Amino acid sequence: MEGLLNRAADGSSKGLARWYALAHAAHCSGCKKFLDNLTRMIEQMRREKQPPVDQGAVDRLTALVREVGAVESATEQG
Amino acid sequence: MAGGNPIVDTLVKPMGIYRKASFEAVAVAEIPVLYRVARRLTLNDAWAEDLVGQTLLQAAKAWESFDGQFPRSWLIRILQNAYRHDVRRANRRPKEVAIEDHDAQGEDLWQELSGRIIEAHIYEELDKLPEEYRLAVSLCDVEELSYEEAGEAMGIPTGTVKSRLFRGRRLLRQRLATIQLGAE
Repeated sequence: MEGLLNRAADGSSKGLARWYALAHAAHCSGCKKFLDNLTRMIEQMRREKQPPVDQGAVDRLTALVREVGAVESATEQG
Repeated sequence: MAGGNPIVDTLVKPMGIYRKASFEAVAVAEIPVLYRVARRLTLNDAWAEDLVGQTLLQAAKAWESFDGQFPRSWLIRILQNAYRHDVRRANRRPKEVAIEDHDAQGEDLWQELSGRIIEAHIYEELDKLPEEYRLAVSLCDVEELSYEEAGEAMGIPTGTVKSRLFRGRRLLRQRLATIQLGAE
């Protein structure tokens, strides 16, 4: 049941498997708490992606990619 | 779960007419995800940036031979290999805290966690999980990769992704429950 509840919480299960997990949780208070808490925890992680990405690092890495791209183009043309 | 474009995934790729984007377009778009995954692996900003740099250089060299499917997973896999190489070479590894895994039916698992506790500690506790669980939770729950994409990224079967993910979530919830008990 824990696997079914995990898949219901992250939205990866569909159809009968999802229906069964939700129907079970509706009648089982322990599983309902588990499902609610797990869903909340996953939603929290998806909403606030951490750690925040350092913009300076992104700029330096973007420049690196562009530099590599420019070298590749020059090599292909030359 | 948010994988790629559903039209591309269900119609275009199976027909074999999937067209690979340019390396620069893909790489630049994936930098924030790569950085977060690297940071979660290394627990260190400078090392994370260095690792993403290494990943992008290796990916640029290998781009021609890449089939174009699951580019995010492909890049994360390169990143993970680079990380392992760093760990072996310098014998450095982020400090991990040993934590116990209780039975899934343990009462801590089922108790209600307050939203306040979760919000304040979730990432702090995630960073304390052993690497294999930390990565599974990070890829599936933070970066929203499907089980299949996470499996491609980690180089493991989908079933193993699920078992690591479910166990990682269980450990994380236990850690959060322990904090809550301590706060009460």
